[in-house]
Amino acid sequence: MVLEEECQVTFATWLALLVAGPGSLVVLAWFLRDVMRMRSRPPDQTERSAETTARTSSDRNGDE
Amino acid sequence: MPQSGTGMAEHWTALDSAILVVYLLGMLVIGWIALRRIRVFEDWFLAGRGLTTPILVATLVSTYYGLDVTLGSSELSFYEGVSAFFVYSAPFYLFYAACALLVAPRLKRLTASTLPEAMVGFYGPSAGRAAALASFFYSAPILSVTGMGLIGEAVFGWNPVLCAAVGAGLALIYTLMGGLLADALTDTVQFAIMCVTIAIATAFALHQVGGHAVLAERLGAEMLSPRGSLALSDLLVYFLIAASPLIEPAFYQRIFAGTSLRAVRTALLIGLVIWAAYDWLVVYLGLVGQDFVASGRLSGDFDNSAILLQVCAELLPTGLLGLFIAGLFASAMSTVDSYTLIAAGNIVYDGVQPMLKRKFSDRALLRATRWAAAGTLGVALLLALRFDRLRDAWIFMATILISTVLVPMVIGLFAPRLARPRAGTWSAWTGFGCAVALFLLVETFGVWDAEEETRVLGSWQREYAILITLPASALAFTAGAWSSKRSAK
Repeated sequence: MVLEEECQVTFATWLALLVAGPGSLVVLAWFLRDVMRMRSRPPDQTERSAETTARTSSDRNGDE
Repeated sequence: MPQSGTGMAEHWTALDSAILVVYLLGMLVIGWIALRRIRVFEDWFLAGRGLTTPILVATLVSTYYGLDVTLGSSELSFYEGVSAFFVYSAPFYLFYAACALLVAPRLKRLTASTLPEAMVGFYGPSAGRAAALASFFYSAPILSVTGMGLIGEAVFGWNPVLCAAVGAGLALIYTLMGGLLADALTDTVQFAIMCVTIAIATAFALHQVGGHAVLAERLGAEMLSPRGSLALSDLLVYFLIAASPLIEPAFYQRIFAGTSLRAVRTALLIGLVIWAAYDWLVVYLGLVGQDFVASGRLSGDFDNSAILLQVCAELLPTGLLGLFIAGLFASAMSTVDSYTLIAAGNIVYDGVQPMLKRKFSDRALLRATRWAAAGTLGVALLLALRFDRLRDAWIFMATILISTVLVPMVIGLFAPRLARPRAGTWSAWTGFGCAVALFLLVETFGVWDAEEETRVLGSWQREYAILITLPASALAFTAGAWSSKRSAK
């Protein structure tokens, strides 16, 4: 393997480092933004959606 | 057996312990928070089918990449060089993309909740039972449980079975409390910890050791050859095993649990990029391990599965080492919790419930699946010490799943007109039976080959089973379809 290729491999390692490190933090920040949005939603809307989920699931499973 | 880490214990301090304890307690708190949102079985098992894109990215990446990848890939690169990335990891990316672009849209159209349920939809209950059994074998978190034992032994010098039991027990507690929601929330934190700590360790290695040019000079060009010294049969086995994302039970569960197809597809494609980056870093650290041993910086008198631990103990300062070990526990626990949940679902939802031919109430389903989760972890603990190398255990588990499910599932999804119940049932049971029979044959009559580092029967290696079982499953499908057609006439 020539030196130039080895430098490219090292560059790939730095790139992978940036994707895995800061990249995963970006995903975490994205998740936290979603959570904040959900929390700022009016409470009755969240409650109604949970009730719908519960009802639909109970219907499907046929509570005994 | 060589000791896995006297060096690690020397570097470990009270600050590292404190960081690890804070992480473990944090996971339990998340489980408790999720518990308050559980109302029905679907909330527990599929998080109310409400997982958004970022949480899907985190849970997919951290679940699929446990200690088997983290320790297994670094161990493989320690032996084989960068071919560990090109031969073992790279083929998976093709199938991740196929899963995102081709499989996910078709799965989203089904009303199923699990992989075996999808098989029942295509081929009927018998094929579903074979799929449930294969999925259970695949999902029992044997590898990560083994890995946690390895970490505990290396860091604290504890008995590996005890360490595995403690780590698995903690993952079990929050999974029992909060189900998939707790699993997905903990996965999000675990995902960030495992990726960031691997990135930090790599930065230290690049700074202290240097890039690949330096490593090539010290280790020889062969360690940087993409194909390495692997035989053609090994390459074929790795390629076939890489097809597992097409039928991955954890992928299916998350695809069913995603809020929309778009969220699932985006998450899988982002995950692909992060998986590739993570693989590359782990492989690089395995190479650094080889360099440390060659230069005498590490003695080499340890279990090579723990090479990553030894390298990071050498590289990282106090505090960061604790965070790194927390990251390793994170990668193990995120896999243990997810697959325990799936295996428990396989027993109760896909196994017992259809066999008794009655629908359980939500409360009964929840209770039974929680008990099954505890039982699954017990079985995983018992099996954890059966394999000598993490890679071998992974290949065995993937072989069982692929041999049983790949052919019928792919035909069911892409050519549903050919999906006859008899064809799917014959294919699934033939694949499953052949895989188990071949494994038992080599285990019973085979011998340990020190050069190949696996069990062999004559010149036949244990890991080659898929080369027979997958064609056998395809042949059985053809025979079943032909027989079904004849009966119809």
